[in-house]
Amino acid sequence: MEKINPLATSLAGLSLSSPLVTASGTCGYARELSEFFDLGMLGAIVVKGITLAPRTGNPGTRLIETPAGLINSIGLENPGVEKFISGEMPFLRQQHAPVIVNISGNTEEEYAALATRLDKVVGVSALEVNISCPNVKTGGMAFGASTIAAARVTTLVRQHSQLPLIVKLSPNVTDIAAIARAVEEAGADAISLINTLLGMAIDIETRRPILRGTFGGLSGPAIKPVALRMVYQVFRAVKIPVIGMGGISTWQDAAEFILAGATAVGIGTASMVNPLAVPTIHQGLQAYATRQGVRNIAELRGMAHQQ
Amino acid sequence: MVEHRPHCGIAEVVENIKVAPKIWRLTLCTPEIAAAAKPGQFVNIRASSQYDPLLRRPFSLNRIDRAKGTISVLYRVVGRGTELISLFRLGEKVDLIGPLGKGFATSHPRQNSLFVAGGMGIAPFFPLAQVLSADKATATCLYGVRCADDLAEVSHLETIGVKVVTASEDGCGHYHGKVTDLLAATLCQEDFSLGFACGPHAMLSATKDLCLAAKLPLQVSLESIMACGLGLCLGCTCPKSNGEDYWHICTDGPVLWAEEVDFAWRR
Repeated sequence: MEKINPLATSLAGLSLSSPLVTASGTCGYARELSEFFDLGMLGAIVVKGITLAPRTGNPGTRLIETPAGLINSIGLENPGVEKFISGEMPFLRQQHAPVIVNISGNTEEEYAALATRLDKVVGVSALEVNISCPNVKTGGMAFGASTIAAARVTTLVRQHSQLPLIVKLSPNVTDIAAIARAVEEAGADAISLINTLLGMAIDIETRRPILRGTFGGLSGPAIKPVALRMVYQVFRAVKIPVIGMGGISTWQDAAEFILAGATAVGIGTASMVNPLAVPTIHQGLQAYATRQGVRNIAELRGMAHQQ
Repeated sequence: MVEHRPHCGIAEVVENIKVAPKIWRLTLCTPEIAAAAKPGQFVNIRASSQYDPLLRRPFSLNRIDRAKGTISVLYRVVGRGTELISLFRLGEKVDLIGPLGKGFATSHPRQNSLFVAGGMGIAPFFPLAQVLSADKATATCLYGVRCADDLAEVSHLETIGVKVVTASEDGCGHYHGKVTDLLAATLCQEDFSLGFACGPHAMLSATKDLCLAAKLPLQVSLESIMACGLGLCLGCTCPKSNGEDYWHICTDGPVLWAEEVDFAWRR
C-alpha cells in the first residue's frame, strides 16, 4: 500500500514532497544544509540569487542583529550564471528536490539573458524572478516597486523561458496586492513573498549609518506579522499560488502562513540560526495536519479567510 | 566548505565560572566536538532557545579535552547574548554547532613560536600551546590588556611551558605600553619561526606589518558577527589582500595567513 504523504503538494506544475522550501539567499546552493538533513524533505531548493556576471558582494559590515531580527547587506554575492551552472548544478541535480533558480538583473536585458541561459539547463525546475533585492544599487527592488516595471520584467522573462515562473515581491511598496495582480496578468505562475523589509542602524559613537549602503534588508521573526499580513492580502488578490516567507521559524509559523493562503512556505533566517529548522518544522507540520484531521495540508490552505 | 561535517546538537554544561571580573569560561560536555576539534576552530552557541537574541554566538575553542569529552569557551559579558550565556547553570542543556572553520595551520616549521594576543584574543592560544608543547616546541606569548581585570589564562599557559609577557598601557603588565610596541622590541631581540595573532583589528593590522617586516610568517585568527557560521549567509567577510574579493571568516577562516588579509578595511 502506498504511504500517504500529508505534506505533498503541487505548485506551478511542480510536485513538491512538502510545502517547505528554502528562502533564496539563506541556503547558498544547499551544500552546507545537506550536511544536516536529507534535502528530499524540502519541497524545493530555492538557491541564492544568480546574476549574469559574478558579484563579490558589498564592502564593509554586512550583518546587524536586531531584536528577533537580522539586517543584511550582502549585495547578491554569487559566482555568476555560468559558474553556477558548471559548479553548483551537478550537486543540485543529485538532490531529491526540484531546484528553483532565483535570478536578479541590473537591467531588463539581464533578466532576459538569464532566463534564456537557464531555460534548457537540466535540473532547473523553475525560475524565481527577484525584483525585490534591497541591497544592490541598480535593478533589484526598483523593478518590484511599481506595477508597470514588475509587469514588464515578468513579461520579458516569460517570453524567454518555458520554465514555471515565480516572481518574488518586495514588501517595501504601498500596495502589495496591486503588484501581485500586475505580475499575475503578465504571466507569472506563482508569487513568492516577502523579501526583506528595508531597515537601518546607526553607530551612535561615529554617528553614521552602520551599513555602507545606509539601508539593508530586515529578516527573521521580527518581520513575520508583516509577511503574514501580505500573504493574506495577496492570496485574496490573485488566483496563482503563493509561496509565503518572512520570519518563519517554527511549525506554528508555517501553519499560520498556510492558513493565510500559502501553497508553500520559505524557511530562511531560521535555517541560518538552526540548520535543523527545516526537519523540525517538517515534523511539526505533519503532526499538525494529523491533529487537524486532514489528509493533506493543502486542505487547510487559506482557511483563515473563511467567514 | 567546512573541513568535515560539523556536529549540531545539545551539550550539557559542566562548568560556567568567572575567571576574571568580566571574563567567564563555559565548559560543555560534547564528545563529538571534542574529538573532532582542532586549535583555532570555533563553536556557535545559542544563548536562548527562543529566537531572541536571534543569532548564535561564535566562540574560539579555549579548551579541548578529548579524554573528558569536553570543550570550553572563554568569553566576556558584553551584551544580551553573553549575559544569558553567563547565566547557564551546571547541567543545563545548550544548543551548539561545531567544530567550525579552519584552525591554526601547525604543519609549518614552528620550533619557536610567537603568540600575540590582545584582550579576549588570548582565548584560542591554550589548545594551540598544548599541540606545540606535545611536540617539544617552545612558545612565547605577548599578551596585551587594558587593565589587570582583563588578564586571564596566564598561569595556565605558563603551566604548559609558554613564556608569557604581558603588556599594558596602565602599567599592570610586565611591559608598560602597547602589545605591538612590545612585539617590535621582541622581534629585535629574538628569532621566531612562526607567529600567531588574535585580538582587535588595529592590533592585528600592526602585528601583520611588524611580522612581515621581520619576515616572520603570521597566522591571524579573525572575529566577525556571523549569522550562521556555516557559509550560508555570506555575511562575515573581510577583504583579501588581492583587492578583488572577500574571505568568508566562518569557512575560509577564522584563521588566515596575515599576508592574505587586507587590514585596511573599515567596518
